Amino acid sequence: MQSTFAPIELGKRGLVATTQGLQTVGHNLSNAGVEGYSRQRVEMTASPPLDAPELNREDTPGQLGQGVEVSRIGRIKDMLLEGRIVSEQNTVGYWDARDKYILMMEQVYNEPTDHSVRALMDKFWESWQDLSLHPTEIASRRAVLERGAALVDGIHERYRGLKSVRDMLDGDVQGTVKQVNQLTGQIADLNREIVKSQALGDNPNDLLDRRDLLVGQLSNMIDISIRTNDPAGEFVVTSGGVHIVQGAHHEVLDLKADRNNEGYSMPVWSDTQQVATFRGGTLPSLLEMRDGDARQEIQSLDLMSINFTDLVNEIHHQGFGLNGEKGPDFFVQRPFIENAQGNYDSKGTGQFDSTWIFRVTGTNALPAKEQIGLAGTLTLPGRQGTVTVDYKPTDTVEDLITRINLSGAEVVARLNSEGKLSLKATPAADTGNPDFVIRGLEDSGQFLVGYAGILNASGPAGAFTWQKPNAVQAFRQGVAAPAAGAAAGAAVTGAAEPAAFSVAPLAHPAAWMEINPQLAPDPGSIAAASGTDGVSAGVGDGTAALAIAQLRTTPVMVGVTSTFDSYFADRVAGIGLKGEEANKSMDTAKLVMKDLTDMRESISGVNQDEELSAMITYQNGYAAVARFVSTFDNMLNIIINRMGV
Amino acid sequence: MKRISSQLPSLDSSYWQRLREFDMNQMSNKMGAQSRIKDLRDDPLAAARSTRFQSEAERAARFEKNIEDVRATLSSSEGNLRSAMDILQRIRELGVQGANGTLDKSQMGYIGEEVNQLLGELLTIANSKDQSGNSLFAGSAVKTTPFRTTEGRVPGGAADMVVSVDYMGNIDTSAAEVSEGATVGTEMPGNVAFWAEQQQIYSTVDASQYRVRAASTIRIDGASISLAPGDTVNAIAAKINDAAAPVKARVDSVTNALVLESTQPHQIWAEDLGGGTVLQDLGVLAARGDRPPLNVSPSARVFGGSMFDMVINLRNALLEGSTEKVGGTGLRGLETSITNLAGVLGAVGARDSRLDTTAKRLSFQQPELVRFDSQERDLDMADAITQLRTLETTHEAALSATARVLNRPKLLDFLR
Repeated sequence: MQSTFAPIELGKRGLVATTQGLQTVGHNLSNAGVEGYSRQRVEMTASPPLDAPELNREDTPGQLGQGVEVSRIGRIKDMLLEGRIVSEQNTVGYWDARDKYILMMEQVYNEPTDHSVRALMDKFWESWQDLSLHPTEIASRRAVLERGAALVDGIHERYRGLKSVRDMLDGDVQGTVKQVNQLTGQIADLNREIVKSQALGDNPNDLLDRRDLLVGQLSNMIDISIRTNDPAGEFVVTSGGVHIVQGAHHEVLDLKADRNNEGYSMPVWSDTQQVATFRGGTLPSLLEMRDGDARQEIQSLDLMSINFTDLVNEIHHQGFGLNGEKGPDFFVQRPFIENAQGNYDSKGTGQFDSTWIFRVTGTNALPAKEQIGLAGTLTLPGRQGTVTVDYKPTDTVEDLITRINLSGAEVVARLNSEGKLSLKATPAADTGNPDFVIRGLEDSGQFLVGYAGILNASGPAGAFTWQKPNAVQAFRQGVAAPAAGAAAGAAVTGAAEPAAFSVAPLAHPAAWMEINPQLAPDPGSIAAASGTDGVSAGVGDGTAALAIAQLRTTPVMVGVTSTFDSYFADRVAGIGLKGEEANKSMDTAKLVMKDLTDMRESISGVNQDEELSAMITYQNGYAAVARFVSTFDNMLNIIINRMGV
Repeated sequence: MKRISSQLPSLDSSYWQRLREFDMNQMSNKMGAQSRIKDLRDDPLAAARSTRFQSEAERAARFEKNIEDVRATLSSSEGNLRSAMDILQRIRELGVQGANGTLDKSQMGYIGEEVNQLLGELLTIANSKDQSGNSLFAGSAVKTTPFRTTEGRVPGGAADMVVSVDYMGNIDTSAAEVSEGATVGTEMPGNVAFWAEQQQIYSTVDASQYRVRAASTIRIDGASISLAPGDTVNAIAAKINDAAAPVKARVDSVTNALVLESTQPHQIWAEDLGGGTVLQDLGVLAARGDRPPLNVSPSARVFGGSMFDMVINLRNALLEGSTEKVGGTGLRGLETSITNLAGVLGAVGARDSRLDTTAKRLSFQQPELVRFDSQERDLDMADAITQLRTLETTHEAALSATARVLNRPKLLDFLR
């Protein structure tokens, strides 16, 4: 039996539903400019009619409609598209960060201008040319010192530039890790709220929008994927197999300073202390640049600096100054290992535990074109473990040197100005290994032993290994190796000339090279003249100066970049190409992203015309329902007032 | 995607405007800097090539400077040598005059006096210095006066006269780089320029039983020669002949002693290096370790002298009044001096003309390098202006389109 006032109730439901619809229109219009907002729609359904098929239903035909009611307020969102955006966003983050920092490194180079390190080095060589012509003039000597000082400043400046980029990258890594923690925390909090709200049967649209926005921001920093676990509806964010957010729980990233990597920190998972690895996004991009590109740039500058100082010093030592004395170091490096045997306490235990040697030169002059007539295998340190280089009797010295240099070993070979084989360490690819330290030399045959005169004996027994003190005893010394346990600094004397070695730098050579301070007060001691037998060829001789000036074009560097000129050209092209790639990839990634966000905007964005027409619909609906209520009111009026009880 | 949200047009237009404004800014920056490479990424390979061209151009400019410098030194040497030539010609005239047999002793004495004056002039020339006070003919010992004179009594001479001239310089010639890897000697040792005869050093020590005891090194005219233990004197002679020195060695068949002979007129410069005693043992060098050329063993016989020796001979012959000597050894010695000096002058001229050729090549090459560099990194203005203009036009069009889209009538405009 239907109630008398049921239609009033029906009208009220209609009024409420249209009001809610109108309010949602207002909500949409107000939020049209809010980032991450998805338009919402009121979903209305007809109220359950009278009567439900039950035993106690009234026995009348037909079901009587009960008007409208709001079933839910939903947001319009394509969750599949959202997933794609999340998985693409990290590419944008990756290239965006890379583009910015590579540009900074490009600007450090200052090329191609007249103020770059290359231009300063050109000037430096030029001054040696001048000195070779006017060795007796103090002005020429001062020019060499001044140009040298300018070059050293330039190298320091470039080092500082690159180092500050690296420091900035590290700062950014730390900031990003904090942001990631913050975001995952916020997502976890939102998850809790959302689950509560959903448990009550609500649609927490605005919370969901907020969560999507935070997930978007997170996916800019690290590569993540999202999913919702059924049946509980638990929201999960994973990255590289780690559930970084699961419902209300989130993983925290810690920063752990790495002693082997100049104290720069690595992100680790707080609970397992495992290093966190990511594949896309800002964070891995920053880490990759900090420990890859920027580190390599510094290493390559170091490599150039240490070779440059070593080569200039090598010739300068052989030359003679105006005073008839042999030349002192032209460049000095601080801090080098002070121990003359290269013994170093790398673990800080109070005991020498390793030998740090940068260069070792053999005792014998080798003709480059001579066939070596020996067979054997060299074992040299590589990027990972060791590399082996075979040699056969038909190889020439030159062939073998090329093969060593192209073998990927972290030791390179060249014949020095006297034709002696010189082996030098390069920067280490692995951060666990020190830069510019020869980590091992072994020869199964006689090439390094009797032929070049570097090692005492062939085979593993005669090998040089860095991880023990006094390892320089493996080098040719002309005396029997001292008994085991001999004190550090055992005599390196003997009848024959010993293999010459120089100890490794402890810090970045590019940052610590200086012109020998003894030279400035006494420019006459700059060695411009050559000489033999400990006697200078004469004050007017500029042969040694010319030999130094000619270093610029002689193949003195290593591997593919053989001269200083090609070193600079190679670095410029290298960093420029990286920049070009970063720029293009960023443009592409952004364009892809724009298409995706456009698509999202097209689905979830608010269209004012649409909202306004919905508004008119609801307005009219409201008016119509109101009319219905007043009509029914009139009808009741008839019953109550006219029936005249 | 058939639905447009109200935000989309403005998002779109601002996205593209941002990109275009960036491009315009890049372009105007490049125009301001006059360079098409603002950042290395603009054209990394051109930037790399440009660094090479810049360095090469700088080097070529340096070589040009080096050549100028060497040519200046050479021309001042050449001037001095020409004056020396004039003096020698004059001395020869005087010698011919003195040798004609019509003059009496006192007249010849007067000629001898004049020759002595000219000898002094010749010595001044040989000891001349350049503008920075460096000796021109001392090899690389530029602060040394190259020729030291000893004065003494000469029969027939009124006062003390120069009786011998010793060379105090060295034979080292410093080099200047004049093009990639090519060097040219800058100095001229006086014992080549002012020499007259081939020099011979005859040792008097019988070396038939001699063997080199320990590995050692000797140096002849600046060329190092390594000797192995057990080398005989013949082996040593063969090694000297193989070395790049204008000196021939042989073993005298009678005395079995080592003989060194120059192959072009100059003073032989022999040294034992590193404490070795091979040349000393062979009787070529003195036991006391003097520096060359004063280290020849007193027992060895030395032939062949300098230009000064020749002039001194002639003068002495004139003072002595011996027509025979004047016309014989005196004039012959002078002829050798003149021939040698002419040869030296020829060599200087040849070196100068080589430098001239190199300089011409460099003066062509250097601007070319600058041009290549400019091609790599300088902006093509016409092209840049066109591009900028295109961007500006596009920008205007885009702005006007945006304004229209954003001002399009909305439903709102028609609602009461």
